[in-house]
Amino acid sequence: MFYRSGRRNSRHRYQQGKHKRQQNNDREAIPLVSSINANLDRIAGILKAPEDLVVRSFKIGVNRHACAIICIDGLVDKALIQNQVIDPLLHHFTEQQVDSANKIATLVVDEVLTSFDIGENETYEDSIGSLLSGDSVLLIEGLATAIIIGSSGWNSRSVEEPQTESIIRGPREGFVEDIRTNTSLIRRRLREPNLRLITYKLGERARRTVVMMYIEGIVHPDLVEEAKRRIESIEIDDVEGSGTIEQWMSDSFLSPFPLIANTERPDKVTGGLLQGRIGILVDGDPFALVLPITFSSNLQSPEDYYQNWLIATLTRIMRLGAAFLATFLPALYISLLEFHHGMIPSKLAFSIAGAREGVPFPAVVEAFIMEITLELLREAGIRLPKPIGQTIGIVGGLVIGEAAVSAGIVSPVMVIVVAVTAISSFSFPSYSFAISLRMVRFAIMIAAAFFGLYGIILSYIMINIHFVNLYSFGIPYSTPFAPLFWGDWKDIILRAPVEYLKDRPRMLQTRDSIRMKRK
Amino acid sequence: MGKRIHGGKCLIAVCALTLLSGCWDRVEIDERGFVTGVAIDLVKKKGEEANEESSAQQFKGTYQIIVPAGLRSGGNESGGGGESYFNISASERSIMALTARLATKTSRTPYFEHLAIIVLSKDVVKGKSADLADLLDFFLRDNEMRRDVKVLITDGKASDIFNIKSQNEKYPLAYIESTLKNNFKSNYMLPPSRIGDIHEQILKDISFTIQKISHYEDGISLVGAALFGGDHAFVGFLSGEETQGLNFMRQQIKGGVVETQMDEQIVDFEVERAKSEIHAYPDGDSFRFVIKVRAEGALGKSIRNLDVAKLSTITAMEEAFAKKIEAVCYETITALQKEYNTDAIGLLSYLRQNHYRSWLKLKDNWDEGENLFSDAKIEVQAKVNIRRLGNINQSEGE
Amino acid sequence: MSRRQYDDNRISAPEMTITVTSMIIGVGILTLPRVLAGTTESSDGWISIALAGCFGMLLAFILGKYGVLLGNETFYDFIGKLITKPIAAGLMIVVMFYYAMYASYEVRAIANISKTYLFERTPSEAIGLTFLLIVCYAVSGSRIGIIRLNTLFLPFVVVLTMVVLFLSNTIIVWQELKPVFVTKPGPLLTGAQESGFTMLGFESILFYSTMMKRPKDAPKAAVFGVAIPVVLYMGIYLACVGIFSQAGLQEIGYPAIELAKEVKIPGEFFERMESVFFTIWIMTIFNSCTMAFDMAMHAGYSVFKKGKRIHWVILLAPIIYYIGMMPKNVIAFAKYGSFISYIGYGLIILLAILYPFAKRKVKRSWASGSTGGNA
Repeated sequence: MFYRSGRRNSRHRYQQGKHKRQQNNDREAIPLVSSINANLDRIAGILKAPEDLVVRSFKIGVNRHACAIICIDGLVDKALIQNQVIDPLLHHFTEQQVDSANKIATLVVDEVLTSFDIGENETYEDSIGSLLSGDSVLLIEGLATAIIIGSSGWNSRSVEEPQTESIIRGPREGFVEDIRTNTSLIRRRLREPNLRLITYKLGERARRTVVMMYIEGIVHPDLVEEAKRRIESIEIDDVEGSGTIEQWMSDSFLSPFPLIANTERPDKVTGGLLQGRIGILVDGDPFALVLPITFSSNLQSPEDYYQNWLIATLTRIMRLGAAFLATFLPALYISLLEFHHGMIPSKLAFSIAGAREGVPFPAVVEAFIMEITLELLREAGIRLPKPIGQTIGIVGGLVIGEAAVSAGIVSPVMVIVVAVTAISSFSFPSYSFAISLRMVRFAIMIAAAFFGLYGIILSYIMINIHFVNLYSFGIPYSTPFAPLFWGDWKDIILRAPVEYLKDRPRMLQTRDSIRMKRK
Repeated sequence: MGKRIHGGKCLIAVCALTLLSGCWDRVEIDERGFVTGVAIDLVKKKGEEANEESSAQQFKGTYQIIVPAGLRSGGNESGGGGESYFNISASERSIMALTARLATKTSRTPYFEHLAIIVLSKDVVKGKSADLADLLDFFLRDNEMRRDVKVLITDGKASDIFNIKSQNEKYPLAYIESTLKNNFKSNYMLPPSRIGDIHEQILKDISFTIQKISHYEDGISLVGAALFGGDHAFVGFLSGEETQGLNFMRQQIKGGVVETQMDEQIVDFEVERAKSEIHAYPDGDSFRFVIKVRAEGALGKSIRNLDVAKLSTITAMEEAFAKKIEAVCYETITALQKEYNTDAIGLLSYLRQNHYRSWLKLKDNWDEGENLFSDAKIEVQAKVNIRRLGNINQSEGE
Repeated sequence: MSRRQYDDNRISAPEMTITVTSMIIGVGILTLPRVLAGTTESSDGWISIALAGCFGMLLAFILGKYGVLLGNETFYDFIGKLITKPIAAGLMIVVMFYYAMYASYEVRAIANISKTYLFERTPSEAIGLTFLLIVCYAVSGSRIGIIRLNTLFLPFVVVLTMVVLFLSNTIIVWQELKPVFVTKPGPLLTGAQESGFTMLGFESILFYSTMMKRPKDAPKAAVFGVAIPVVLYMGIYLACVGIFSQAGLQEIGYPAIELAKEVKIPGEFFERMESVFFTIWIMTIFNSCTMAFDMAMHAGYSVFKKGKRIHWVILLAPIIYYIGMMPKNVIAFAKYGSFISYIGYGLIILLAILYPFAKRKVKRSWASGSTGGNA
């Protein structure tokens, strides 16, 4: 939100993008009038004179010219207004003798006010919009224009480590709710002149600021076009958070898999921007969106780049194994114990059969009971306050599992299976992907209950068919496995040594594909 | 895109309805009766059916089924509450009927995927009406069993073997199973005979051997071999030494001891590996064979005051062992050629692989018909290499 | 929300090779070693495989050249110019039925083999039905999606086969492979004919080459696509002979799967590989069936040019299922397979013979300046 100070035809932020505010707005674009009191009354009338609307009237200059400054208490930094607006106006405007309001306005803006952000607007709607965003509106008697002074200063959370995505090594900064802080976090990491931040105000009634970021010259222009088109077509009352925008912008609402990544970490966003993706920040939500993503992005975590390539590669392989376990292990348990007893080595088969002697339920029912119990525990653990939540998780798991085994409801092997599944599903960097796998796991368990191993393989085929026909902003979800982009394989499971990570991912068809010049 | 997914998902929904009718193959693991071993004996049925078919005999099959709960040692409950296995038997004319009959006798239906051992009594495989191939047909055809199942032939009653108590193992078949793999310690027994290999040997119409198991009061013994000749009929048993010779000539040695005498004292040689090369030279209509055996290993037991550090001693020992090996081999050859007329050494296969055209001519007359095998000249040349001497030199000084 | 055409939905030459390979690797190899052991002596079956492979590569090369001529036209339009529309329409109808039968053969094969190895009491109709429904789901997607599925599944199959072959090293008896070169040419040719039936599938190059980025690469891609299965088949056959010996091999129903049954995993941490082997093999059979279904639909659509994709799926699926369930037992089924292969080769050889005429016609139309196919 960079204003060019002092000029009437300053680029208004509403004029960026092809926003349809005029058509959908039921507030009329009524221009301001010259009379200060009429303006004040009108504004107070539209807002129905709320308690926190503060009006400070004063007279400036030798001629005791009437001025008033309006702001909304709680949204503004009062000290700033006092020091930068009221003080200069009252004390430094004394000697001038000016007759017309226009000249006063020019003088005020050019020579008196010490504020940084200054702009102008001419309609009630815009003025109220500025008021509600934390700016102060300065009205001068005789001027049919309002001077907008940026003075926002509200309490917001300080930058701290992201809760959901902690890593061992790497920056511990996470996004907060205030969008200005968030954009500053991005700018600090990427001091790139080609970084474009395009602002939108989305939501008819909430006017939430949404910022779309990309690096011009790297990202494919069609991608930017499409993303812009999708954002601009959102017409609802409020986009509550980045999750809502994510759902509006996704290609398919039927797929359980995430088509747009969300993250609290600035380094993930800047990493994505440098790869040729687009980032989106939403005011009021610490989760940023990165689009487009494909299946391979779910396996990556920024931590992989801060460590040695061998460790990173092995960790990624382990993650892939964890993905496999988290999805298929309960289903494999069901199919091995119900259908294909021959596949278990003899001694193990006998011992499992012995352990299951007294258990009343078939393995299928047992598996479902335990899995559902685990899901309940997980949900409960999130709602409870931190210290209790962790205890419940551990206690719940141990005690319930132990008790269930002693009571003979489940067999010990099932408890092990469920525990391993739960641990594997927590080892992902991407929470949305972990959730999708949870859903898929149940579906595969049902398939295994009907057809055993055959059911599992058919479900696997079905998931692949789904991936292959799923597109995220035009890129097939199964890229770079199919279509094959060999160059991109350097960074999916294997994380090649840094000397070899020269190019940006081919699948994003970036304009500038070299990120590192050879020595 | 939405349309396409809807179309596909509709089809899936339709199929889901049909699936709700039930899962057919789901069987709880603890409802299975794991059969680990099958023993087959011959039972002559007297009386009524003597006029029906010439085969008035039936097979008595004994199945050993595991009780998994009894396998748990220690644990929460006091262990040893029950046995870990039980044997049930029935008599029928075929194995398939046996299985069906046994299903009516026990709560756990017989389940063969973990079948490990089949024991056949020698009466069952002797003649035309009791045929090895017929018996094994069920075990080969049904998908539950693997070709890895081991077959053993026994002298007496096969079902007696299933009642042996063992100290170390929980059920008799575990005892048998681990013992039959011990051919790396003793070369008086054959390597395990897999049913798949037997099937191939029957198909190739060659003679072969199967492991022999004998029953004593305090356990079992796997010394010796059961010999099967033309038309895969049981011909006889080989003794321990004859089996050793056979092992040497067929390159089946994985370990074991060769014992001989030097200066009227016993010396032992521990074989680690042995190679055998067959060479065939045309000899009239038939062939003359030279079998070269090379054995390598360590000195097991020496004479107490023999200085083994000297090269001459070692050489003398090596020669003594080599002669012993040759003697054993000749013993086997004599038995095979004169007594049984059966080529279990694999010479016919060798001819097929290396002298194909001649093989085509004489394969029907090898150990049947003209019995060319019995007249063939076979020479054995053995060489022994003692590589290690053990920890000490002499156990008693000069 | 419409999907933007980000990439142009065309396939590259390596992907074409993978497609041809996936189409060829199917049910045939599971029984091929037994058939070869019955006709050839000792381990000479590999010669038959090699002969059939060379013949297949030659035909694939010729058919691939069609791809160069076709450019962006459908095959029906192109052939229509050559041999008049009604005959071409008849030809395409035959093609459509051929592929429908091919797909039904695969479905029934899955049902049979699964019944033998994975299930005991589940009716094979149910097994076949679920398989066919998943195939329908795949086919009602985009064509390019089907090609991508090949790329996703083939590595699993190839790697697994390599692993099985590698592990079987310990149980192969190398002497069983001797003697060598003892079969007379007659049986070798019979064996080659049988192997040829399993090589069927490379004719898919005719229908998929229009989707390639550079149709000029089609012949080379097709030849490689045939070469990979040839090598794989030879490996499996030799391993089977080494493990079961020729005499035993003749009597084993599905030797490739029994091969997986025999393999011992070091550590013995699970016992019967054949379930895993077969379930992964289902993936490549699925690919073949999907492509056959897709090509049947494509053939039908290019003649009638009516109806959306989903309509064709609903039309063809019940036909495929019903035909597949018709053979009464395994022997009738094998005869059905041979019948399909004869039709297939008939079509291929017919088209291969037509090729020189087609090429001449195209050259003439270029020379005369009219719009022919664009290379």
